[in-house]
Amino acid sequence: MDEKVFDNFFRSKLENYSSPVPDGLWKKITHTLMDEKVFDDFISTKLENYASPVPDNMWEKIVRDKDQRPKGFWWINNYGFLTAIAIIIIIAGSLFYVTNQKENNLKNKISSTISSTSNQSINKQNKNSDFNNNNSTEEINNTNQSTITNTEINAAPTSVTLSRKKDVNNISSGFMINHRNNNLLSFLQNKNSKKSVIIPLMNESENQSTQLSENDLQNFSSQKNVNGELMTLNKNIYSLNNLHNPPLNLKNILGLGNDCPSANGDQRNDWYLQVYASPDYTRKSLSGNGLSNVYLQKKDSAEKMSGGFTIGAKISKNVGDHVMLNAGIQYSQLNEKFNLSTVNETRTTIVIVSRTVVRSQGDTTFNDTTTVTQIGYAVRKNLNSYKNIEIPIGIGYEFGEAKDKWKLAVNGGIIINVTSWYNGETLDTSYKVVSVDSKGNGGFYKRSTGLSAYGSISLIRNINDKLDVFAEPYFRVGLSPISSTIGYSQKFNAAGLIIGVRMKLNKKQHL
Amino acid sequence: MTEFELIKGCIKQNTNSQRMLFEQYAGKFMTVCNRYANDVMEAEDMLQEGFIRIFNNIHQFKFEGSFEGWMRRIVVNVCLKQLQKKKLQFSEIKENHAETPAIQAYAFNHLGEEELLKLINQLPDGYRIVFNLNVIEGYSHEEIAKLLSIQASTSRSQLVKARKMLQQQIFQLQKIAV
Repeated sequence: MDEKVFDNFFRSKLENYSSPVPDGLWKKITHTLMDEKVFDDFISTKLENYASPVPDNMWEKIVRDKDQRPKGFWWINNYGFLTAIAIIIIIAGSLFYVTNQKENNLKNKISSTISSTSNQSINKQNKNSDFNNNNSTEEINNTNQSTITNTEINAAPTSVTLSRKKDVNNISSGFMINHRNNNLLSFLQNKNSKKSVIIPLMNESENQSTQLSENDLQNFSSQKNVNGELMTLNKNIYSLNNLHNPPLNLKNILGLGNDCPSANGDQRNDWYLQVYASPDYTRKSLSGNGLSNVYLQKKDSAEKMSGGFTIGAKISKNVGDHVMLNAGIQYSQLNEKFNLSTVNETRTTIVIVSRTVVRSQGDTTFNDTTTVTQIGYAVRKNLNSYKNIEIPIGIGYEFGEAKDKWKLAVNGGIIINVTSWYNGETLDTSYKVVSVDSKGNGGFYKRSTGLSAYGSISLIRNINDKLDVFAEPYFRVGLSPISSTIGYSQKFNAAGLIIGVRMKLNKKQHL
Repeated sequence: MTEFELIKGCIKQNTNSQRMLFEQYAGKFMTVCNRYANDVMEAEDMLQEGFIRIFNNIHQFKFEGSFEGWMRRIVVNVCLKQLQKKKLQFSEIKENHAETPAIQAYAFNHLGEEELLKLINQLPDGYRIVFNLNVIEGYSHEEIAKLLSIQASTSRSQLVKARKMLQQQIFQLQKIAV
């Protein structure tokens, strides 16, 4: 007999063979099960809701411990706090904007003063004297040609040159600001003789804004043809220099002052197009005017926010070197799972087990009655969506210089809802499922959801002269609730991570 | 104040609401902690930690299912975490009695809650935890296995042993009483 035949023999013999079961085994099993069940039920019933005495000082200990621990991300759900942050960002941004504007106006005024004063002084030089000590006389013939206009004040982060118009062929004069040591230097250069005299006008450490040092005067007096009126020009230059050391204001206190105007003009003047998208984590708060808490609780438990997304485009513009205004249009969608379980059917099964104990005195029959109740639930599922077209308007403050590779910005603003539309289902006050489709029943919710406030921090990476990419964690807080036709209102809040690209629209390059 | 308002108050970190919640459930949860802890001090620590966790995470409650059940799960998790710090061992205890004596139902009907708690506290850690989780909290053996990182079969055998040991203890009490 080979192995296969041997195995088959055993398998065929034993595969379906039933051994005799010891008498009373079933009873033993049921008894054990019953005993265990009774025992477990007893303990469970006794202890499940039993309240033990609590030590007297337990609450005080909890409060003390709770206060000592770091709060973590409690603020994510504190809408008041988030709104306050958004408002602070908006106010701070506005303040920076206003400060910048004032400073620009001051610069413009001073530049005009310089322009008129320099015209006068150069004219007088023209009449009275030569400009060089080697007597190679250069004349300025036309007063108009020597006008220094505001638009000719070119600036770069490292140097600023104030120059005459190109049609003044013989003399080019200007002021150069050495950005590193913060000295304002004035130089007058005679192109023909290729000699130049550079006169330091101010040293920051000495901070002499209205007086020339003795050395400066000597240098200056070495120019035979420089008369007292040119000194007036220098005083005005000092006034210009004061722009770089302005009196205490918010920007300087925070150390965010503009060092120098940029090469694009006296201010950075960039236009950008931002295209972005964000996955959103959304939350909803529900409130009911006069509606029962049971209804609100039921509705709240049936609906669960399941994220959303935002896509959009913005145009942004620099106002000053750091402040940025932006506005655009975006589409946002908030999704919500509607999942309602209702008792659909209840079935009760009664099982009666009879046991007969045979005794010499007579048989005794025991009946065990077990009742099993089965509850069938009907589950209704749907995916609700709230879709919005919105206009975000904001202001931001960008840290760092325009040509930095990495920049950080804080932003804040408002989002104006243009229109909203909805689809999905909800629970009405009689606990019936109703449609919220904005097309179907003519507006279960308001079509415009009013205002939201937002705040964000963006990290910007410069790719090339024309392109930046940015990541921007943000939050938004709904300021106006969306009211429904049956009385309840809901507010939506969101947090997300905006990822986008920023394209520069203007052609001017930063030097 | 309804439960809904109480929860909303706690979400807003309102101290009065938190106090009310504490007053309402502290006793029940003290029992839970007593069942898992080895002594009263440990139970107090567990209760304190449990309530702090509840207050810090109450915003995560979705109003789905029982609120008490949600809180109880937190408290149980805190208890388990505290016990796991002590490196729980689910070892088998050698049985002296070959067979569990039969106990009449009336024998344990007279036992009070405090006596039962004491009996449960006398069980070895592994037995006690599995017994509590399965019999009182209603976790399945698979869920217990996941919670405690053990095999479901270990949970089953621990439960059988725990039950046996408890029954023996009750039997001893019964004998003393007689």
